[in-house]
Amino acid sequence: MDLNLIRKLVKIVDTSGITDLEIEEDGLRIKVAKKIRNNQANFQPQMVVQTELVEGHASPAAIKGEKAPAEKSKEPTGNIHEINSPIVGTFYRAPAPDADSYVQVGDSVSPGTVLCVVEAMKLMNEIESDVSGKVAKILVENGKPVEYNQPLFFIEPN
Amino acid sequence: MFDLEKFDLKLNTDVIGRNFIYAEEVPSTNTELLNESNFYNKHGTVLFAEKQTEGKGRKNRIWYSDDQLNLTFSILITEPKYLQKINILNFVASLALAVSIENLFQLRTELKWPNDILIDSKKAAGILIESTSKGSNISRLVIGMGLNVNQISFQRKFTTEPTSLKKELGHPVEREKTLAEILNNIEEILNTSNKFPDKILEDWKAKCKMIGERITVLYDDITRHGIFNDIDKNGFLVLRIHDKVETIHFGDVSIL
Repeated sequence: MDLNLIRKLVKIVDTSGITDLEIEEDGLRIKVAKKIRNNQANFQPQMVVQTELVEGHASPAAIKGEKAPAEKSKEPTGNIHEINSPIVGTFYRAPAPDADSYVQVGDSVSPGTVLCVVEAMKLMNEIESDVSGKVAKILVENGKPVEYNQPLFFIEPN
Repeated sequence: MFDLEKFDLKLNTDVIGRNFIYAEEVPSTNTELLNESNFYNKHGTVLFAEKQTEGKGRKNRIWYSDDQLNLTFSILITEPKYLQKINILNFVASLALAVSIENLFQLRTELKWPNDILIDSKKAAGILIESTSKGSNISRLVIGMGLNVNQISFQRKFTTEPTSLKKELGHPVEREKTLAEILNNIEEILNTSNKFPDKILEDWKAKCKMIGERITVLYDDITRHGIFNDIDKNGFLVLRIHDKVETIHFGDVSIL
């Protein structure tokens, strides 16, 4: 089992608005979920990482968070398509400081819809969606630095 | 009028500029070439325009250039091996411009981070690189260049005083051979950059007089003062403020 993969998944869930994420690869299914406190929207995540071997080995591997068992989220988990930054730079949601944002959460996008610009050293990189769907989450604030391969958008494909 | 035959005689490349489009007027050579629906898809295609009605710089700033007097053009890059290391392209492009000016006219040039070309502390050329990503991968990129050649009067106020080759030399310059020389050098330096990216950064640094100086960096209304320590392997500016270092991704740099 790749612990780094699990760490990465925990980080993605932690920094995003989604409550759980489930992936399956080569017979290994990993589900990462966070518990949402009932009384506030601004949730600090309590991580629960569950992994299970779908086939093969009899020993089920499970790393459990301290207390909370994974809560069943009401949100559809669905597929989430991730858009990552191709370069190190600064993330912009609009073409100019006084212009409207390219997209908002909930907007429908299709291949070719411009989502943002990442700039480094007078190098303006416009990022287009490569799928049809809905913007589920924007992970970076306007004007903030981004790393290579850092997730920027979650798109819920149609 | 730009003489295509003269240009072609001096062009010594295998790829860059072999597909050459001459335009009387376009809104912006970068925008035109970046737009895939225009069907310019061949790596190394050069779009040259006598006039840009919406020539631009960083953040929608305007690139002013008098018609017929200067060189304004863009180069299309689509080969994946270059798209994976795009930060180096800024340095390839500015170095190629500087080397061309020095080779042809024996003028001493200086490079200003990230990619301006100065002659005698005045700005002679600018570069704007734009790219498009589909999802998480860069699919095409254009290197836009503007070089002031035969323009001698500049009407507006600029942060860095502009100049041109004619202004510096005192006589007009042939645009055809200048453009061919630039494209020849770009191809050569681009090839080198793929194998030895560090060499490009070293050559670039050797022409940047600001390294080691006290500078001011202005970005997004934030001003930072410090020592221009170095550029890192990504080409970002390493600014030393007292005993801390900060990495700057973009901004306007000036000597204190």
